[in-house]
Amino acid sequence: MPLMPRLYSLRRNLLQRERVERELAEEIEACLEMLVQAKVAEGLGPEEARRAALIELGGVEQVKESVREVRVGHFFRTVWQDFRYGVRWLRRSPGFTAVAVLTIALGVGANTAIFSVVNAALLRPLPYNDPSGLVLLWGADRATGAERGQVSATDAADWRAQARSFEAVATYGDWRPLLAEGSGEPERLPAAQVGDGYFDVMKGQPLLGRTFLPEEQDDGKDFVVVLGHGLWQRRFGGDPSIVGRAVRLNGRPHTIVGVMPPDFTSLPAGLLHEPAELYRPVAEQPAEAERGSRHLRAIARLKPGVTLEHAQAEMTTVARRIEEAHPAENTNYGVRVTPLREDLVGNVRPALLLLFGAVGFVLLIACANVGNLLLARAGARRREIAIRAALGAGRGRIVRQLLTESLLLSLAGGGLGLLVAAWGTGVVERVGLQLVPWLGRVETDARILAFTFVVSVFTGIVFGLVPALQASRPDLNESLKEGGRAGAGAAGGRLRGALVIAEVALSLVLLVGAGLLIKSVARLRGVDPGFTAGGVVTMSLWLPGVKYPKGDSQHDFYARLAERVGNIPGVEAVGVTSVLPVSGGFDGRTIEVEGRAYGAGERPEVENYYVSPGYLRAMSIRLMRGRAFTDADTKDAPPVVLVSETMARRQWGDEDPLGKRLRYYDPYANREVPWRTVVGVVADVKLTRLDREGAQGLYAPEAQTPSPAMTLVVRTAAGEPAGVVPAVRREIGALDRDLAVFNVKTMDELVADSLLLRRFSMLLLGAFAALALILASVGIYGVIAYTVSQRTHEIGVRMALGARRSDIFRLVVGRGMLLTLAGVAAGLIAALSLTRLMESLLFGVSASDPPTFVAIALLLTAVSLAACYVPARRATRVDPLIALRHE
Amino acid sequence: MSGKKIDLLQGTLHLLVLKALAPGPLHGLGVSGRIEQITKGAFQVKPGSLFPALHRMEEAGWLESSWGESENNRRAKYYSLTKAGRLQLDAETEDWKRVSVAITSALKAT
Repeated sequence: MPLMPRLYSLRRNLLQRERVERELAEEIEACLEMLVQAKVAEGLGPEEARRAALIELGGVEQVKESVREVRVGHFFRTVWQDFRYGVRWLRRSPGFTAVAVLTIALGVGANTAIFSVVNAALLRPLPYNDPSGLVLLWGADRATGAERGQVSATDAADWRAQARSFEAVATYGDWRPLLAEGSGEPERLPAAQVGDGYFDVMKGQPLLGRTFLPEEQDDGKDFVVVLGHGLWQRRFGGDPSIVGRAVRLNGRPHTIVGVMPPDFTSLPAGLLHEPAELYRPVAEQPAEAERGSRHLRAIARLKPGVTLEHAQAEMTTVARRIEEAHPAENTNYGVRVTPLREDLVGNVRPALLLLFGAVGFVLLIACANVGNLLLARAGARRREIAIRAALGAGRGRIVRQLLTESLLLSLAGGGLGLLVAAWGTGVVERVGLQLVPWLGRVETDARILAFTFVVSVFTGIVFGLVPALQASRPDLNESLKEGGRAGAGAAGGRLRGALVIAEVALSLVLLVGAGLLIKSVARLRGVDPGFTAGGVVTMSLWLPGVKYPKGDSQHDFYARLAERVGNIPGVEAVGVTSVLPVSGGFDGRTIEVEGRAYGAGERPEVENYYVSPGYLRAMSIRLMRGRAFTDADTKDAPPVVLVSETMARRQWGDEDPLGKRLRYYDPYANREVPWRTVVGVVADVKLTRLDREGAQGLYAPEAQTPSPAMTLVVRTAAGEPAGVVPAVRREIGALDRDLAVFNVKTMDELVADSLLLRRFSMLLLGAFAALALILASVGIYGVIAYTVSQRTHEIGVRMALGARRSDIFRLVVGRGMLLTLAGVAAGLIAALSLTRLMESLLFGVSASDPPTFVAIALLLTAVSLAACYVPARRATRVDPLIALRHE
Repeated sequence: MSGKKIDLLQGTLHLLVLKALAPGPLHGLGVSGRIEQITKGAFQVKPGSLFPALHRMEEAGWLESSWGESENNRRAKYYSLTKAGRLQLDAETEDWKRVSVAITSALKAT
């Protein structure tokens, strides 16, 4: 059809509506008039002629409406009309509107909040240049099953030379230099040492100067650094002439060769100890002698078009080749290629998806509730709808009007939901940041707004469509005849029943999930970690090699520090350790037990600690047998070790471990490694996470194996252990005022951190389940109360015919219980298959734990019984006389 | 009436209205009378379908309307063909003939 006349008509229809309407009325009137005259001419009386003419015309309003429907712009006009009508209708029933909008706001808000986190963690691109090609290369030890091991510079160089899948491969590792220059206090900087090609892998172009040259990986030429943008601004005031200047790090001058731009993001905590602010070369040219020295990690960038599977297949071949060429170091040693994102969100993903699913359930329950409210109201609106239909509104038109109303509700709910989400996101973000440190801010971007909008519209359609279809059923005569007493009919009742069953089933699934998590966390709390966390505060120190070059000076420093800290009032015990339990770090070592022959890869792997004599007491680790370390275990005394119970059992079985000897395995046998005598057995300590099996733990005296990096463990007598931190800092400053103290945390905090993911999931899922329970009980209450009000007449008749109040009570409660039990049954079946998906989050409880299932089913039944009670009581108070007269 | 049937008839109805208006302006009832007359009573167009069709065709630019006196001195809305309407009549007549020939030969085929 031609466009111009239509546009013209559109303008006229929208802007000169009154004139258009007047002319239409006049035209149809004239037509009717002519018809009447024709009928009169045929010989009918005036009354009869008019009746016949109206029948032939088919009703003045109907004809007008059918003309309106074909007009250009009709759609906009009716939408606007429906909108105004809907607003008026909603304002007429503020109670209903408030309940519905609030219900939707809670549902949509919770969904938006969780989606914001899912968006940030799983959907948004990682904050690196062209992040999709980034993969990590891990050493995988087939003998121990360890899949994410460190790599040596030598192996990495071979991978780089042989693999064709990658644009670039580079090694990296942690570095923690002490910076005492620039503005501010001396500071232990989070930094990284990076191998040749690292900036190519990360596609980082320097803002100033350059990145590293290949030859700067040579020992001696490596005193060069590249600054991160943040550090450059913070410590050097963004000095544009900084390149070429020297800065003292760990007491030695390093030349600044470049500054990175602000959008160059460091690898996150988890891959590095902390996000790096400063970079230096690894300074290790690949040497055959160092092949077994696996202290670095590797990152690579896939060539465009190369798949992960292809890269993994190639690396498997490359690793096998290296294994054959160097059996001494690389037997059983493979390579695992993982996408960067997997390592960043791997452990959080199941929890997030679980919560996302749970929150979707909450929304469905909210939909069912609002749908139920609408169904009940549709019953009351039957007459109105019937009249509209009688006046010429088609079924589609009525459905559209009712849908407009539900969309109004859901969009209002969605708008309010954004406020709920803003609050919820804040809460989730605070916890989420601890879980996913690289997450950054959980921002409300266009995608989240779009998500909220789509969810709101979807919600409106879901809860609005069924009631709308139901209400617009064309049984006009029936409705008009019933004269307003109309119940919603049997079909409406069945629908509401089905919605309640669905609500109960969905809440049961959520409650069971929450119940299982609560039980898991309770079980975890009950786990004996092998130490007592209460009252202990810890902090890390690192002695620069320039000032403390020898083991003796390092041990001397820590021994003197322990003595001074021990004299602080309120301090009960002090110790130092190389590795702190549950902190996430660990020091894996290979050992040999005296008198045993080992093939390649057969030597036991243990988790190693260097500790001072005070450590066991400071951590309250129980000594099971033998003796603890004492000050007499110096470097000149016989070398000794303590072993954990698990290690004692695995290595010596029923034999007495005391007096047995073992030593750290040195693949090169460069120097004589001393045999160490087992002098005691200590309780198992859950090292990395509380839910891990007790590992084989090995302790050696720090005096015999000094190390520059140690963690100070201080047990206080009472109260808040963090209170002694200033005093401890003073003592450290008194010994060496240039030392930086980092990672100050109480053991309670560390333990809580290790439980964080489960606690976070438990709290959120618990909140969602509680919300679901409330919504479902409101839903049951609403349906039963509505049934009672609809059946007042029937109840009156029953009572008039001699039914006792208890019969009526049973009748009403029975209906509620029937729906509840059907919902519980459906929910139990659904829960059985769905809880299996959350197995990775459970601890010490099976996904189909019968006590949890039974308890939750009983809880739901009890709550719904309570919800039925009030309307049932009301039903028993029906006065048969009034009820019958009510007719 | 199902929606499909209306669609099928709509093209035909348009053609009949255009044809009925070809000799000169008519008001709504006049159009339906003329259609009944030229189809020898085969089609009786009810006001419920006629008026929407008239308005739709007017908005499409095929018809224009003006107010005039009816035969019994009432103000009535008269429709007449526009230039576009005449072109449309020719085009639809051609289409109809083609369809008609095709259907006829299809029905004759054995």
